[in-house]
Amino acid sequence: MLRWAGLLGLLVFALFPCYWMVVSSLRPQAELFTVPPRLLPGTLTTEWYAVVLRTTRMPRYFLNSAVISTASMIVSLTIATLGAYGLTRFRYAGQRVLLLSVLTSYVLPPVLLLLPLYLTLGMLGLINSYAGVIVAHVTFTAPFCLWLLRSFFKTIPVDLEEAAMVDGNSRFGAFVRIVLPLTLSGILSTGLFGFILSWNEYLFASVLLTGEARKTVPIGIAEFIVQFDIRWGEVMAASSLATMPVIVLFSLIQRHFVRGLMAGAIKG
Amino acid sequence: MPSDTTESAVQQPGRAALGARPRVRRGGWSPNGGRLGVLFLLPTLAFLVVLVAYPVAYNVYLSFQDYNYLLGTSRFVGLQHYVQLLHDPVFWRSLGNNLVWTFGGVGGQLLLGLAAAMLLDGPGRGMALVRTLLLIPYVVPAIATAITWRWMFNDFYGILSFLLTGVGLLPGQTSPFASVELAMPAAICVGIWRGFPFAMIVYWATLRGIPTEEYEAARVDGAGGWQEFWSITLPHLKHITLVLVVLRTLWMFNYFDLLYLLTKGGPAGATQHLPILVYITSFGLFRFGEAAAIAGLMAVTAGLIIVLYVKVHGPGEL
Repeated sequence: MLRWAGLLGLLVFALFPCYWMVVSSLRPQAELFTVPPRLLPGTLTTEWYAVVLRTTRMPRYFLNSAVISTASMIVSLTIATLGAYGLTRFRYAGQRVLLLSVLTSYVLPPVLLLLPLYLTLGMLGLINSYAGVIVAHVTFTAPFCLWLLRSFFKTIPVDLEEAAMVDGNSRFGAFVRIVLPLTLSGILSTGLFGFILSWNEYLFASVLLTGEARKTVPIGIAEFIVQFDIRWGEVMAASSLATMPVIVLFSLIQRHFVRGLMAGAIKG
Repeated sequence: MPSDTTESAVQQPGRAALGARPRVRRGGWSPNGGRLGVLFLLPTLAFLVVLVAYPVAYNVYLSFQDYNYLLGTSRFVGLQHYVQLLHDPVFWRSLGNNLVWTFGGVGGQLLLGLAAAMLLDGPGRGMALVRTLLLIPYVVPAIATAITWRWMFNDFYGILSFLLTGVGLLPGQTSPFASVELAMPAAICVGIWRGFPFAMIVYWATLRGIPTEEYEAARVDGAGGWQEFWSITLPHLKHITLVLVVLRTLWMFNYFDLLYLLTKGGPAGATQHLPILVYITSFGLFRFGEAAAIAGLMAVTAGLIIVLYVKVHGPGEL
């Protein structure tokens, strides 16, 4: 009994803000601003969603976010899959230094990279471009993926690859035919979590994307607040729209995520 | 890593076998990698040089410059920014805020995470679903989190402001985010909301790893619930707690998005922590050199925490 009461309390704490966000996005103006606020919605409306999708640039921002997050995911997975495999299967001179560098890159304060990236990308003409923000996002998604994937590769016994090589596969062949298929779900989940990290990121995107054409969803939503009068209905609708894909993705990968967290995730 | 218990058990036999096995064709397992090993590592090396070492070095260089981005002027000033910062009350106040934000958040996340993990641990229908639902705050975008909590704490129409006013914790028609005393505690609550699932899932997996025989033996000896907790559960959680403290501390210490989007550092600087100070100094005041120095000092702090992490883990467990 006590246990269920505790769990119920936790569920309310964890999920009420999500509930409130969605409910607020579906309330007509008059019900949004009532004192005291009412817990259950009366009439529901999708007008805020219509406003967000028709009259603001949010659809464009969703496209931008999708492009940037997908590219960040692909780039960081490429670096991380090869690097994580190398670091679990080969011995390099300075192995410890390498691992320590990866770990360090993983926990560097983002504001430490902010100015150098801004100035360098500016010099290269990559402000307000997809490429610039993708580079910035890879600075944290790549070490995250590498660290997580290392733990997945560690669980694959080396004997399997050796057997494949005895059967005539090259070493690279063993990697492609044995290790990749066995870790594919782990690799994809890791990549999707990298996607989520990139999707949610605010700091780099806010500095590197100032023009209308390339802004991401978090930047777009934050602009609703800057304005003197916050239009809560629209903001709640946009926030709900931004959150939905993340929750769907996460529910797909959470099983691997739990395992990955155990094995060494820090970011989050 | 939070736990290596499962992985190393699997990995070690393979590693141990490396030396003993006869070489197989086409190069076999050359432990030093050879050309193929270098190819695998190349993208990582490029990443570390271009996106880590270079920016860090650039930041150090910037911190020695008096670089005003707006005016485009730059001159070498050596350690001047660092010396100035150490005499700047705004810096110390931001550091203080950063520590309150970090330790308040980490403490709350670990306590709530542990409580949640203990409630989740054990048989029960629907536990997997409950666990998944409790993980959701961890992935909600910072912007959506910040907006929703600001709405719930809205001075006139916020449901939480209304409830807190009802129990006398808030004077009517105010938002805690507008109060110098209450803004940081409120922001820490949001930080705990967003971060506790991480501690929960790590604790939960650790609890599952405690052998049930230990509890059974304790019960035979007549131990009660609290005795079991103190003598069996807690000792098993000691190591992972240390690791969690280090990891979450680093994360919260460096975390910009959530606090900035909640309060922008206000009111009157009450929630301005070091990442926000860097942001404002650079993209508000365009004093890039000074901002780089603050970021540099943050990195030094983070570096000290990393050393601690490696010490906690022991040298072999990187």
